[in-house]
Amino acid sequence: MQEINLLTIITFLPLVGAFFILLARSINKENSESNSKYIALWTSLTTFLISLLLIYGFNSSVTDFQFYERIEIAGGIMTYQMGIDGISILFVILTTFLTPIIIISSWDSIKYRIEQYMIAFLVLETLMIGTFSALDIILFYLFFESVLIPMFIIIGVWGGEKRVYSAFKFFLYTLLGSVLMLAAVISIITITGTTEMPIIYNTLDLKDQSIQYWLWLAFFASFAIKLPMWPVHTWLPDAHVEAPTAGSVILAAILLKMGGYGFLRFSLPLFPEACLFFSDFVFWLSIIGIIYTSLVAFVQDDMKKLIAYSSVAHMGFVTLGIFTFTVNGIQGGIFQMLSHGLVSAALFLSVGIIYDRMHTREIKDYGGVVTVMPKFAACFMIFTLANVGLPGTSSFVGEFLSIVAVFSVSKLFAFLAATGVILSVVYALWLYRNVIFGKIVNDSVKALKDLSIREKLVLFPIAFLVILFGLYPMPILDIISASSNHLSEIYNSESLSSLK
Amino acid sequence: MDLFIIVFLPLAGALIVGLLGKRLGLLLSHIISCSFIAIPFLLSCYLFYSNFLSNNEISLYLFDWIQSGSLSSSWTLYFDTLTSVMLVVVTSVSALVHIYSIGYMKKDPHQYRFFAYLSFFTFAMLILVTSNNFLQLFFGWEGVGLASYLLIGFWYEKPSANSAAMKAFVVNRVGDFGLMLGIATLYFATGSVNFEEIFSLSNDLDNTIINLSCLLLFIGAMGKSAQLFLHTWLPDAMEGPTPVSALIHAATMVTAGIFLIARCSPLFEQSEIISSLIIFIGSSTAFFAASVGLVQNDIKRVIAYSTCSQLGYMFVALGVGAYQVAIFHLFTHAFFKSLLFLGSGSVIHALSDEQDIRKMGGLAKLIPFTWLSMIIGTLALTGAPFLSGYYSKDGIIEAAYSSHSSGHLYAFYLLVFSVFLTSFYSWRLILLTFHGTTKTPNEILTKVHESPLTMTAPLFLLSLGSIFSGFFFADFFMSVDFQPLWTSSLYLGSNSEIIDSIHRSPSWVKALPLVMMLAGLLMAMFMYVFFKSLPKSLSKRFSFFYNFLLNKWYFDEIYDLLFVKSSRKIGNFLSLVFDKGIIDGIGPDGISLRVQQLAKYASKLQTGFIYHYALAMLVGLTAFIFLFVIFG
Repeated sequence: MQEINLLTIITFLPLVGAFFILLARSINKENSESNSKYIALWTSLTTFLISLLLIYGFNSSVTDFQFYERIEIAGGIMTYQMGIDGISILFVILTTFLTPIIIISSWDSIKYRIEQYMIAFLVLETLMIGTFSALDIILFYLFFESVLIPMFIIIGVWGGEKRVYSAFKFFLYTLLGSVLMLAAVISIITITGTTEMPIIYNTLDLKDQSIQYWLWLAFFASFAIKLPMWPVHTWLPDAHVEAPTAGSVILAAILLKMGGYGFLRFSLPLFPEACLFFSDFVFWLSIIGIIYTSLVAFVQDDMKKLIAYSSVAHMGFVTLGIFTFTVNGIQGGIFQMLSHGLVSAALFLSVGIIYDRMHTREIKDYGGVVTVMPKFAACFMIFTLANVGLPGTSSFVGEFLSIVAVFSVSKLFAFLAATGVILSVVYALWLYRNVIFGKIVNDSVKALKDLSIREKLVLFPIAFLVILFGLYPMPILDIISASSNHLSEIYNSESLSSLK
Repeated sequence: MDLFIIVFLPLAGALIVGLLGKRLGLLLSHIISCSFIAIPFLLSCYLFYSNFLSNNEISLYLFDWIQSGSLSSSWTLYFDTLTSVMLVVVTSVSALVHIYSIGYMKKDPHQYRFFAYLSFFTFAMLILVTSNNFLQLFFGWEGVGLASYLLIGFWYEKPSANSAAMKAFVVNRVGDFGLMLGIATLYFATGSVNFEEIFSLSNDLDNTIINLSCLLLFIGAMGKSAQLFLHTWLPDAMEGPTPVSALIHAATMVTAGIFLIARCSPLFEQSEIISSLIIFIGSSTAFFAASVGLVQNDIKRVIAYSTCSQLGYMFVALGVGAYQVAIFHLFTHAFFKSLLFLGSGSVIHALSDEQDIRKMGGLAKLIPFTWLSMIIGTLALTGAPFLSGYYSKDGIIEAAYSSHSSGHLYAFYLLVFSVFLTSFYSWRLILLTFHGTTKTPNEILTKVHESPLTMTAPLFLLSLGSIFSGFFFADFFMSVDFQPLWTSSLYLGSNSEIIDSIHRSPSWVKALPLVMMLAGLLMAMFMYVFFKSLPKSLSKRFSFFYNFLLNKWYFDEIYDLLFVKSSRKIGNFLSLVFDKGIIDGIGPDGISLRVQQLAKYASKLQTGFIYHYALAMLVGLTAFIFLFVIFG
């Protein structure tokens, strides 16, 4: 495998596809729109299939980076360095899995600037995969921040009425985080004299704890905004509401996960003392986030806003799990992120499906949808149940592991976090009841048609995976276990155990 | 292998009928769903019998579920004496309810969905009772909750059914919250979620852990089994079709809480405080629900409160440590309560969906078979000698009397008084529905008919169960001879002390329930046969008291005010004031506002006159030089 640079191929294949769309446009202008769709679809599907080779070739018993590539560039200032481990591999797969799905989902629903739209998403895919596999800190920073640009454009160009406000709000928040992170990245480079993550892991030894605290906070600012954590979450509902369906899907399913991934890749291994020092702070923010956003979700009139707030609540379980530094917690956090990637994607896709027909996101405009769209109602039920963390769906595994892990740290935190289990039922079933059940009051609901083949192609695979991983999560847990153990071992060392 | 078929055949039935039902046609779908429950029933009987002959435990490992760190759980089917009883209860009632539903749901266009849900429910319930670890139990626990939610809201166009379904799910989740944390507590303390491993370590756990975990598990049981404070969902659940009420909300799902505590008896046995709490909550529920049942007018709600009350009896038995007696009552109750529900379904069916007993009367002659089965159910429920309820209920009352747990006398007197109430409301129901002059409008009355065979046959079989299940099985559950069968699944104490003392309780204790039952019957006759104006004048004279009972002690109103309305208010406040006002105000909106203002000021400076700029540059340069000189 080592001769083929598999990671580079997977990362940049979508970008190549984007160039092909440009090329096809200059050759054949008339069919350019439909050409661009097909090019995007085939590129993303091929990328997905090739990415499955990663799982095939991945050795889940070691914690080293695999599919490792390293080239010195920019005159030795930095390197082009890629590699994945048990933490990152599944995020790469999640990205390559969802991209074809969202391209299929936007097949008919995007009406203008289709070529640019497809290009934007392909570029986005490259940047996201790059983020999860870059091992050079500058390279990571470049990928991580560049994601902002296509996303900004997607919201700003194909978004709803208030798209400009939302796009700027999104930009402003994320920019604030990235400025602080840049400062931290530069100081790490000055301290260690290298940009290579594998070397930084081994050499960065911050005796001075105050520096650790400052660096931790700088990274934290960026990741907490991305995740997002309370109280820096207010960009998310607006961004989701205004973004086109596919934008919301990518935002919820993958961009948010970059925050959690950041914690695992940087905060936890690099600043263990600071992590321990700030862990109570993180717990409180997470718990406030879970309860606060669940209550807020309950009173939303807009379907997308409701789901967006519920995302924040679910991300609370991720940070809770990760910052227990236990095997259960880290595995639970990662599993929760992957599961939420599927579930939130499916929820936004579902909302998109009825939005395409009705052109309204107001809950009160619906009601009785099950009468005309029973298949859709069944799918939406599965995703709603997954959203409330019912056992048998993938969400349960992550949430349960997180709660169990938090319990070992503090009973109080576990109790508070578990209230989220009750609250999630309230808003999720309330949404379901008002949209799907009841009598049809709105005449335009009567005319709705059930899922088309294209829409089934979008929803069924996700529903299948949500249930499969709910009943048999072992394939995922096996892949992430070695790396999770490795991370939590740092915190079991003697010098750190005393700090606990 | 038998066990595997018992558990997974209903799932197969659910999937086949749910996904392919329309293509298979009605007849084939009915045959598949019914036979896929009937076969497991026969196998369960076989397993029960062979276990009865020689105690055999089965543990059938299927595959891993969650393995993370030291947490290890698998999908495993487990069978012991406790499970054997539950299997028979679940599959027998489920099979009969499936058959009954063919007649009851005849005109419903969504039958396929209905049968799929029923079979799925059965599967989830079977998973629950055959689990060997807490996680799988939790899966079944939530699975039955889901099925209950779907079936309560089966008629999704009715707003009341939707509200009831959601209420059931949410209130149950409060219980699940407890159960989940209870599992977390036990895992934290023992590093395991398997019953066997946890129970083997239970002697070494410290008291606070035991008390905490028992409390949390009990909260879970309270939610599922509709005990006081978490009971509000059960009466509303009657919005679902009647067969559902019989299967889920009388015989099986609501007894999952009883099963959970019986299964965890090695833990509860060590927690005196929580055992007393269980006695207190159980007996209070028995009394509370019976009191509310006195004045309800919806035929199904009366029976629902009766279920709630009877579950309270079972909890008392668990609290005093008479676990087999609780399971015994669960067993007999399943038959007579589902008989009552299915009987009332037959009444509702005959009266074109009328449920208000004030609009009934004189039906005994028109639907004699239904009448007879309701009489049998009532006799069994109220504890008429030699019928099933007589054995199990009296067993509980005697256990409450002879126990040494604190609060046992409180429970004893409350339970005895509740026998009186139970007898009164049950006979009131019978008298108002079947006797006296009819109050049904003529156009409905002409259409009244006895139900089809698919409905009457299950009534007949359940009647047999209600009559004989006590007499034949009393020894199996309560005799000292059969204790060895139970030792592996339940905590029995030294020398089955509690069972022993039941048999030695004084004769006045044994006679008291019978007296109370007759008193209730007489009182009902008195009020509804001889002095028919009495109920009305009483309700007027004691209107406060009457309304208090009629409105179910105002629990719904209080909860609505405390939780539903206030959480919406908080949500609105957080959403509008905190999110939009404070966070955005200080954050992005505030910043962009400041920047805009600043830009406005800055643009004012740009006057366009050269000398203004020249002046500004001069001032700036001077200031710069000054700073450089001073600090440089």
